[in-house]
Amino acid sequence: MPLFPREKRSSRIFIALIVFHLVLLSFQVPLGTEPTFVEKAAFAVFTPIQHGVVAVVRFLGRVWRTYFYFHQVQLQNQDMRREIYYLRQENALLRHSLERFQAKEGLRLFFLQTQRSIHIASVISLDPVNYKKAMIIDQGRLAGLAKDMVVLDGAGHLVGRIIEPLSLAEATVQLISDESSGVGVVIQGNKGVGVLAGEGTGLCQLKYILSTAEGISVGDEVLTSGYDRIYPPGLPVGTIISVGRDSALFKTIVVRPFFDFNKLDLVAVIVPPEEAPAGRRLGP
Amino acid sequence: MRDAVRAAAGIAGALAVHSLLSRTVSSWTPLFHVFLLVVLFAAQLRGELFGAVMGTFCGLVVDTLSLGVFGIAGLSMTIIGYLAGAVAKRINVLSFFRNFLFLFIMTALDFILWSLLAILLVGQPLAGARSLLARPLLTALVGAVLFSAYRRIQKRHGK
Repeated sequence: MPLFPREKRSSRIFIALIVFHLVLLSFQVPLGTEPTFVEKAAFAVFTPIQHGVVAVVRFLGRVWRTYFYFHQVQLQNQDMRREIYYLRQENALLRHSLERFQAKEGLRLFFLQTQRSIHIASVISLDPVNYKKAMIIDQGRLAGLAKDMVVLDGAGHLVGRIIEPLSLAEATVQLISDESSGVGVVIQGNKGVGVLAGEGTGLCQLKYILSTAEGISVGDEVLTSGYDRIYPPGLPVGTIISVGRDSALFKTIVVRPFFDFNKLDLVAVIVPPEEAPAGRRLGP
Repeated sequence: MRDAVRAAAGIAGALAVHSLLSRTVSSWTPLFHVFLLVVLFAAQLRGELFGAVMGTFCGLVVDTLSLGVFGIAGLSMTIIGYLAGAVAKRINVLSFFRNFLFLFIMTALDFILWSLLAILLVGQPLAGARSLLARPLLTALVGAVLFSAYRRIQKRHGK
């Protein structure tokens, strides 16, 4: 006769699993969104599988295109697309910051700031619960990526920043549309300085713009201010789609980010010069 | 040993499908819960214990890939995996319509449980939760079609 009948054994293991999860939660709840050791370990185990899947799919696609179509044309096209991608990033950074800084000193400071490198990364997964909160990219610590590095889309629009967990070959990106995200922003034309927080629905709220602020209207562009010391100034963030005055002190402003969730195949990570081992330099 | 290989293959398959969905039709990722579908398949085919273990692993994967409190999806999917296995053992859920209904109820229960845990632990319903209301319908539909195809293949091979 077995020590525990099958039914009893099942319920004991089930209770053990529930206790395991409750212990995990009791460790996690006080930390909020800061990852625990278990989360980091799970990230290191599971994300390489997705990385592998994406690599296999990309490889198969490349084999098909390269060997069954025009071999040379394909390679040339790939290089040129890569070049365009870099140039777009560079162009967007330069254009928006040139608009911002008029004086010579300002320009000099700007060029110092844009002496950064960018790394192109592929998106390997979106947040399965709410894809407008986070994503995982196929570059990690080995590529020189670190927490709080800024992520842009193909057109140079702000997408988010790198957060933990971060492994050797994969990194998590918190999108600006996540509720716990905060970006220091300025409304184009210096109409107001505030903080952009996500709503988790794909839109963002522009907070702390005084009700007395004038000239703010639908269609105004929002740029990063640089005051948060994470996002460099002058990056295009989004457009104002509604302006209200619900609260007595501040306006209620809704912003639609420029980046498109359905076109986040490739992203660019801005790596400061001292942390960039093999990226490509921007600026002079 | 065979169960461990099956579990690993199921999780790897779910990760692969999720990756492909993320890269092709991102707006569909919250509507089709591929990880829960793997748990429900495991529970139907191998019973409540295997369902609960798969729920634990798949839940950990979901928690890892998403922001928020780590462990909510793990807890809810473990409970649903066990429940689904216990129900499937006692009620016949093999026909297409019954299977669809079973998957629909289980996916809806997972959503309710997950939302309650989120309210309890985070203090507010997670943003974007409204868009997940269509999740049980789509997941159950795809799951019932896949399960029916699986049973047909099994029948053809005389299993």
